[in-house]
Amino acid sequence: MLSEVLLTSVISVSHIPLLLICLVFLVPVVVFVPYQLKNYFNLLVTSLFSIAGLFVAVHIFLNGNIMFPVFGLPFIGPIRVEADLLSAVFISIIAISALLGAIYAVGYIKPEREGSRMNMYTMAYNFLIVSMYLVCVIQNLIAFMIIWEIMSFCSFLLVITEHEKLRTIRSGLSYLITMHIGVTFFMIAVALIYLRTGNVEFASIMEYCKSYQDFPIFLLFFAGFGFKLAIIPLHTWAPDTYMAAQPQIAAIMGGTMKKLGIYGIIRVLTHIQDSHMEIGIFMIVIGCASALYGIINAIVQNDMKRALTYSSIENIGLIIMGLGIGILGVGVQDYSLAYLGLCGALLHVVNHTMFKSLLFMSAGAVQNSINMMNMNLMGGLVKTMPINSFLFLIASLSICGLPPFNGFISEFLLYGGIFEGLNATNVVAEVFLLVALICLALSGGLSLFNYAKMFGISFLGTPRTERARTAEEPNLWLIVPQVILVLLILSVDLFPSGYIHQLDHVIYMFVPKTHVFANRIFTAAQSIATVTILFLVFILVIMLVRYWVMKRSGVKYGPTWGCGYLAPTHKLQYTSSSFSHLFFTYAEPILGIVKRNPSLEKDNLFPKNQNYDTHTYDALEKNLVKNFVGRSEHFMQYFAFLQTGRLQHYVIYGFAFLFLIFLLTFSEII
Amino acid sequence: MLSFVLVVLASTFFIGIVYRVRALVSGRKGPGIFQGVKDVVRLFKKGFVLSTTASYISEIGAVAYFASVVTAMLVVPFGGNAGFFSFEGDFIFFAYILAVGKFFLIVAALDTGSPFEGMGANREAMYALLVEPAFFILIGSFAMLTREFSFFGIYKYMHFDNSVSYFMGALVTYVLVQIAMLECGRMPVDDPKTHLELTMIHEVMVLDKSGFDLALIQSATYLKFSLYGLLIVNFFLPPGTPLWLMLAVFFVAQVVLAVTVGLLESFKARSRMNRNPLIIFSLTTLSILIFFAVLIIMNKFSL
Repeated sequence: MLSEVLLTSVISVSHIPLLLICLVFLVPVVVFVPYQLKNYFNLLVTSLFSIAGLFVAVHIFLNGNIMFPVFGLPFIGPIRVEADLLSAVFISIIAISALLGAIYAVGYIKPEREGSRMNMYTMAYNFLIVSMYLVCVIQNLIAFMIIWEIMSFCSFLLVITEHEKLRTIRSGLSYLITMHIGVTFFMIAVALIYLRTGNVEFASIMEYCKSYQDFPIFLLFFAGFGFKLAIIPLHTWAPDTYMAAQPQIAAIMGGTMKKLGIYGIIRVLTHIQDSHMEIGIFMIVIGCASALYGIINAIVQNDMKRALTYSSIENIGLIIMGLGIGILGVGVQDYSLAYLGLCGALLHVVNHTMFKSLLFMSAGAVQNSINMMNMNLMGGLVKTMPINSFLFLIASLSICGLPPFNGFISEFLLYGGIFEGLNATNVVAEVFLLVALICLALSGGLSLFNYAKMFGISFLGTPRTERARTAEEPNLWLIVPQVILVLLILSVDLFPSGYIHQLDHVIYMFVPKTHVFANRIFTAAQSIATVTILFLVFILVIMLVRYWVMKRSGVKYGPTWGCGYLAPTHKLQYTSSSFSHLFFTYAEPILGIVKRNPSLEKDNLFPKNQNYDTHTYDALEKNLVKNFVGRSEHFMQYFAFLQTGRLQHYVIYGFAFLFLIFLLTFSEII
Repeated sequence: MLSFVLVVLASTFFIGIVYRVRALVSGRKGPGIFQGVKDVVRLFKKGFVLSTTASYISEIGAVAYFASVVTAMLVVPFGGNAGFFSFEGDFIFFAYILAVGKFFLIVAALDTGSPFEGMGANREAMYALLVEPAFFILIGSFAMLTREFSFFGIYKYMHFDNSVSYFMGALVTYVLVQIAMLECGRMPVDDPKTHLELTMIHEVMVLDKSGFDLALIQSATYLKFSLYGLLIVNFFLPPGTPLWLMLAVFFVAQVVLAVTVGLLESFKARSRMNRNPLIIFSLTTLSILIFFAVLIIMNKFSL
C-alpha cells in the first residue's frame, strides 16, 4: 500500500521508543507556554502521541508482532517489551480516545479561568497516555505493576483537576486508595509467581500453572484488575469519581482506561493451563451479577453522569460474561462457543469505548451549558441543543444494542455464542449459559428502560427549570469529537467483518485456527446489514409519504392533550424520579432505599410544613465497604494515641521499628 | 414472501374477530370484522394535530414503530417457505428490531411532555423489559432442540412426537399467546377499551398522536398480533404439508386464536398494575420449564 510505504520510508518502528521518549520530555515544556495556548499545546502533544500509537497498532495489524529491544533495570531484571495483536487492539483504542479527549478539552477547559492548572493537567494527561501504551506492551510483571501505578496516579491527578471542590478531592482520594488496594492483590500474585518460578514475566504464569493450581492465582489477578474494572463489589469508587471528573476525563477513564483491566485479564487467561471451566463459570456469574446490579442501580439514579457510570458497570459485566462464555467454551472444547463468546466480548470492548465516550462527552456538553446534571431539573434540551441531543440519542440506541447501531453486533455475537453453546454436551455448562441468557436478555431490556428514561426525561418534553430553558448548543470543539465517535460507530455497523477480522487474531490465542465460525458470522452480519438498511429505507419511505400527507391535509398545532386540564405546567411532567418509581418498587430488595415519610397525627389540626423524601443508596457499598471501613476505623481508634502530631515521636517510631527488625534478624526469627 | 402476505391478510380481520366475540359474549351485535381496517383507512385520510411541545422525535416515533414491525415480518417464515430473509440468529434480530420500535414509541410519548403519556411510556418500558427473557429462553430451548439458529431451521426440524413434547407444545402456545397479548397491549396487563387515562398503558402513550401517525401505530399493532399468531401456527405446520392445507391451517388457527383472545378478554378483568410483573415473570418461569423439558427430551441429564 502506498501509505504504508510512505510511512515506513519516513519513520520505522524501531524509532518509536526514541520518539516516545522525546515526546515525554516535550510534555513539561507546557510550563513555558502562554496560558491561552496551553490547551492547543496539549492537543498538539496528544496528537503526536496518538499518531505514534496508531502507527504501532497499524504496523502490528499489517506485519504482526513487534519486539522492542530488551533493557534491564536493577531489582526488576530484564524488561521484555513486546507488542502483539492483543496490544494493538488496545493501543488503537487508547490512541483514538486520547486524541478525541484532547480535542474535547480545548472546548471544555476555559483558559482564562483554569489556565494555571493546565500545567498539571497536560502533564498528567499525556503521561497517562504513555503509561497506558506501556501497560499494553510490557511483559515484565514488576515493571507492569509500576507502570500500572503511574497510570492510576496520573488519572487521580486528572480526576482532581477541579480541586477547589471538596467533593472532588474526596472522591479522588477514594479512587486512589481503592486502586492501591487493588494493586495489593496484584503484588501478592506477582510475589507468588516470583517465589515459585524465579521469573517475573507474564509468560511465567504458564510455568507456574503447570505445577500449581491456576484458579487461585487467576483469582488474585482478577481481583487486582477487577478494582480498575469496577465490577461488583469492587465498584464503589466509580460513581463518585466519574461524577467529580471532567467529562473528557470520565470518557477516557470510563471508556478506555477501564478496558486495560480487560487487557490484563485476557493476558493472564492466555497463560492459564487448565481449570478453564471453573474460571469460565466464575466469570459468567460475576459478569451477570455485575451487569444486573449495574443497570438496576443506573435506572434509579437522577444524576446523569452517575447513571452513565452504573451503566458502564453493566457493560463491563457483559464483557466479563462474554469472556467467561469464551473461556467456558475453551474448557469444554466447544470452539465455536469459545470463538463467539470471545469475539462478542472483544467487539463489545471496542464498541463500549465508542458509545460510552460519546455519552460522557454529550452529557458533559450539557453540563457545560447548564451547569448541572440532575435529570429532574432538565427537559426540553432537544429544542435548545438539537445537535448534541441527536448525538446522545445515537449513543443511547447503540448502547441499548438496537439494530441500526454497533452495540447490536456485539450483543448478537454474545447471544449467538450462548445459543451455540446450548448445543454442547455438558449440562453444567448449559445451565450457566441459561443464566447468562436470562441476564443478557434482562439487561438488554433494562438498558432500554434506562436510556429511554435518560433521553426522554432530560432532552424531551418541556424545560423544568430556567437554566434548562436557556441551554445553548456546545461549541465546535465539543461537537467534533462526538461526531467522529458517531462515524466510528457507523463504521463498526457497516463493516463489522473488518473489525472482526482484526479481533480474530486475538481469539486464535485461545482457539485453534479455523475460519468456519468467522465465515458463518459474516454471512449473518451481511444479512443483518441488508435488513437493517431495508429498515432505514422503510422509515425513509414512510416519512416521505407522511410528509406528502402532511402537505395535502394540513397540520394544526395545539397544546399537549391534558385531559381537559387547561393550565398544565412543566411540573406535571414525568420526572426522572417518577419514571423510575414503578421500577423502584419492584427492585426494592436489591436497592438500598431510604424513605422519610413522617405521618400526620390525627389530632394535629394545624399541620406544619413537612418533608417527604425517598432516595437510594448503593446497597453493596453500604453493606460491604462502609460497614467494614466503619468497623476498622473503630478498631483503629485504639491506636489513636500514637498519632501525636509531633515529628520527634514519629522519628522514634521509625527507630523502634528498625531496632525491632535488627533484633528479629539477630535472633534469626526472620 | 408468503408469510409476509399472510400476516398482512390475517391482520385485517384478527382484531375485528376479537371485538366481535367480545360484543357477542356481552350480548351486543358488535362491529363487522373489518372494522379495524376501516378505522385505519379513516385515520389515514385525516389531518395532523401536533403538540407544540413535540420535536422531531414525535415525527419519527410512529414511523419507526411501524417500520420495525414490518421489518420483523421479513424474517419470519411460513411452514416450509422461508421469509424474505433467513439467516443464523434471525430471531435475535426479530426481538431487537421490535425493541427499536418500542424505544421510539416510548421516547415519542415522553416528547410531548404530557403527564399521562409519561405514565404510559413508563409502564410500557417496564413490561417490555420484563418480557424479553421469556422470549429468548423459549427460542433458545428450540434452538437447542433442533440444533438450528434461524426461525426457518427451527420450524423445519421441529416436530412433536412424544408425550413430553405435547406438553411442551401446549406450554409454548400459552406463553406465546401471553407474550402476544402483552406486546399488543391487551388483557390481562392492559385493556385498550378502558376509558380512564390513569389505567391505560398502550393507549395512553398515543394520546397526542393523530391521523396518519395514529393509523400507523394502530396498523402496526394489528400486524404484530397476527405476526405472533404466525409464530404459533408455524409450530404446528410440519414441513411437507401441502400448501392448501397449510393455508387452511393458518387461517383456521388465526381465527381460533382471535376467538380465544376474545373469550379470554370477555371473562377476565385487567389485573392490578402491581400484579403485572408477577404475570410477566411467570412467563419466564414457564419458558425455563420448557428449557428443562427440552433437556429431558434430549436425554442430557443422563450424563
